[in-house]
Amino acid sequence: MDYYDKMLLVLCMISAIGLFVVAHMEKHVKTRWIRIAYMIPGLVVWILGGITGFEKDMAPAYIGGVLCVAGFLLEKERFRKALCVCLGCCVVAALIFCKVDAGYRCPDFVAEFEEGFEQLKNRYCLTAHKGIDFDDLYARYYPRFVEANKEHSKEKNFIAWHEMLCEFHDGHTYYMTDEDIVKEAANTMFGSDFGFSMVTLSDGRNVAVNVESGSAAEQAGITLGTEILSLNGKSVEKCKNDVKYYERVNPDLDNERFYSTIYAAGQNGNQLEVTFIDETGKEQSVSLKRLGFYQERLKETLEIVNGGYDSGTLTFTEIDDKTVLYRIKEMVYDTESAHSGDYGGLESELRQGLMEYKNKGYTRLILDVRGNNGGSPFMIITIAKLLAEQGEHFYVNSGVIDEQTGLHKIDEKTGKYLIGEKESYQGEDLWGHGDIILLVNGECISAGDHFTNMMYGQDNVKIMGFTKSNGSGQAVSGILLNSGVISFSQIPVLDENGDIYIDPGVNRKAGVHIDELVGIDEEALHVLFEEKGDYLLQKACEQ
Amino acid sequence: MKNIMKMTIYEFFKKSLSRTIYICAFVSLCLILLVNHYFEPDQTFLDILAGTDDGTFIVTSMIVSVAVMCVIVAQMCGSDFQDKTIHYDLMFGHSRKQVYFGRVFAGMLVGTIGTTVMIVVPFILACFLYKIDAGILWSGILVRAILLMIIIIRMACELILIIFLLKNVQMAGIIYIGMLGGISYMCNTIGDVNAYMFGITNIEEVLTIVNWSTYTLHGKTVNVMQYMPAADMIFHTLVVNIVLGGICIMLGYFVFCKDDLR
Repeated sequence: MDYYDKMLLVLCMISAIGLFVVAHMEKHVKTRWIRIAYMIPGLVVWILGGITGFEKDMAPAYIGGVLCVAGFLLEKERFRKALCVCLGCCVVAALIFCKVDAGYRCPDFVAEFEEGFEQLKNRYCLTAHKGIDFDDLYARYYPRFVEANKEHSKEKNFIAWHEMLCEFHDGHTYYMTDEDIVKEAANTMFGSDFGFSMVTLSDGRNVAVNVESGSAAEQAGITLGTEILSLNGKSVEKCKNDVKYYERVNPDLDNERFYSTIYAAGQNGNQLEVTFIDETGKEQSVSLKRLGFYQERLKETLEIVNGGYDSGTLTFTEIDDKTVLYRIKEMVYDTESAHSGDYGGLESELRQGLMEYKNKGYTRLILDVRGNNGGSPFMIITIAKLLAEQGEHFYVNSGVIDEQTGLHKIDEKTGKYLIGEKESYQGEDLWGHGDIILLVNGECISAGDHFTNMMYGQDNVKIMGFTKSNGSGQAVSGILLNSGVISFSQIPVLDENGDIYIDPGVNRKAGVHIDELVGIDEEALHVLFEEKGDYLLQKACEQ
Repeated sequence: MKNIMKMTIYEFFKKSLSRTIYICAFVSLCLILLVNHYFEPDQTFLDILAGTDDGTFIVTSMIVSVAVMCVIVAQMCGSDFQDKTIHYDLMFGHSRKQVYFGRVFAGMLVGTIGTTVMIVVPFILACFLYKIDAGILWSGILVRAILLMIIIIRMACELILIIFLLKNVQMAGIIYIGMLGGISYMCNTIGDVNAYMFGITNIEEVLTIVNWSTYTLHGKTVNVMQYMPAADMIFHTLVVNIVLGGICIMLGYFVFCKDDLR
């Protein structure tokens, strides 16, 4: 129950009891203060009720508090006592209603959906590019919010938003709310845990990974690397197609196919019929019981596959006698530079570090941007210009904003955004003597995507990963609702031709690049899941 | 009642302290505007009306206006309690109803006119000093100004109730300011508050012209304005403020009627 509602009920009850006692005394004492005291419940209702907002279950308490003010006007003691009793009963009634009603202090999910949807429809900058049909989305999802509202289910509300926004295929577009609600909803979304996860190998086989030690799955013969053929009679490929929910949306279809294998292991229900190839090469089937929610195992598997080098951000780590690693976990340096856009401090630090290692004879620089959540474009320019080949390099074009509407202007003839200012930078080629290897994954997003693209194409740069980077390059804004926040792409970022930079259109092919897609093979399984090592880093050092 | 109103207004203007406070507040606002323009010549009219920082002129103007309204109303309604000269009005045969409403209406009339002048004149001055942004919807600004006056009148009604309860202008002022501060603090702590129940939060709601904000890639903030308030804001502001103001006035009347004025 809300803290201020509890306070209101307690204060009203104390007032009711106190005023009942005082009513008895007043005819003898005859002081105006005792009569004015009958306004206290009304004042409490006004202040606390006004602060927390009207709640229908608290209506009896509001009415009781307001009625009690009449005690100031009434002469007879018995009427004032009756008001006090009435206030007490109203408080008890309000308490019962609040405890019993599941809809107590529950936001109006339908009203929030209407408000959020309308703003999203007006402000989302990739509607045409991604072929989003808002009318169709509204028609399909409105009933889901009506249902969530009827059941006062915050989890169903979250799932409806999450599922709808997944259809945008945009890593920047998602719904955030209270962590507890997300966890509860994730239990529903990601299905049941049957003791194993899955990945797709480079040869196309779907194999078990992260198998629970001592579980029924392991005892049945499902171990690391066991090929899984079907789940509940459905092929693994069909199960992958059926995946609707992702923790992190991957706009690029190839990336999505990679991750969907991991999600596909979380099937709904209490029993799972698994068909697999055992050690002897024979096809076997086993029925497994549910161990719990798949959410935890999913997170573990994603962490193992996506994990970046475990060091501080913006730090150099010597890997061997010719390899140094520079970890960039996010495009954030400090608060001052985030506000001013001046990354002089980072530039001098990085320059110094690069020159130091260059002078020591290091020839391989590994830039680890796996899991990079993005941040400031000025920061990536600062890093990229130190490493880029000498000469001018184009970065992006901005759009032209209409200051009245806040939206970016579109050329009516071509349907493209009008090109505003061009951003470019001068390369210094501080690592021209050696190789640069950029490690990426599907969690490398936004400014991380930009940085990957900026480094691509240089002779001494190689981009490697199990997947490409995420493919979400537009600038982000938010819509604040009572029960959550919608993050979405609002400010368009354009390439040289004025087309949308990086984000894929209806063909789901992101404009991000990769030089070597590292396949997961038997060796990778061993390094990742048994040794808990960094297979990508190992491959990078072998280059 | 008309004679009581005339008498109350005459007494108020006779007091040099009241005139001094009003003139000082008015001149201060104009000076703040001039000094602000001197140090920030690039600011536009919208920056002082709806800037993103907390220290905009409109916020200062509202604080001063509310304070001036409270001083006027307190002086006109409550100054007679301390020296007990209110008894003379009753002894001359005026009913409690006439005495009460005479003072209240006089206080609200002078307070409203005074506050209106205090808000409007600096803003006319601002129109000459600052560059006027394109696309300003003046009708929307006028509607918001009218709503603000209604809210300030409602806040004056709240103070009147407290004055007639306490019969002490200074105590009433301190308690009312304390209440405003406490409510403001609680509202800031909680965040999501029903704006219409309190004058302070209602003023903030009406003063919020920025609908939503966006930015360019170079970090420049662009505010999308909504000059004309939404229909539900106008409705709620009018209904809640008129009802609450009325309740405060009636409660004050009942308190005064039953009071022994000792």
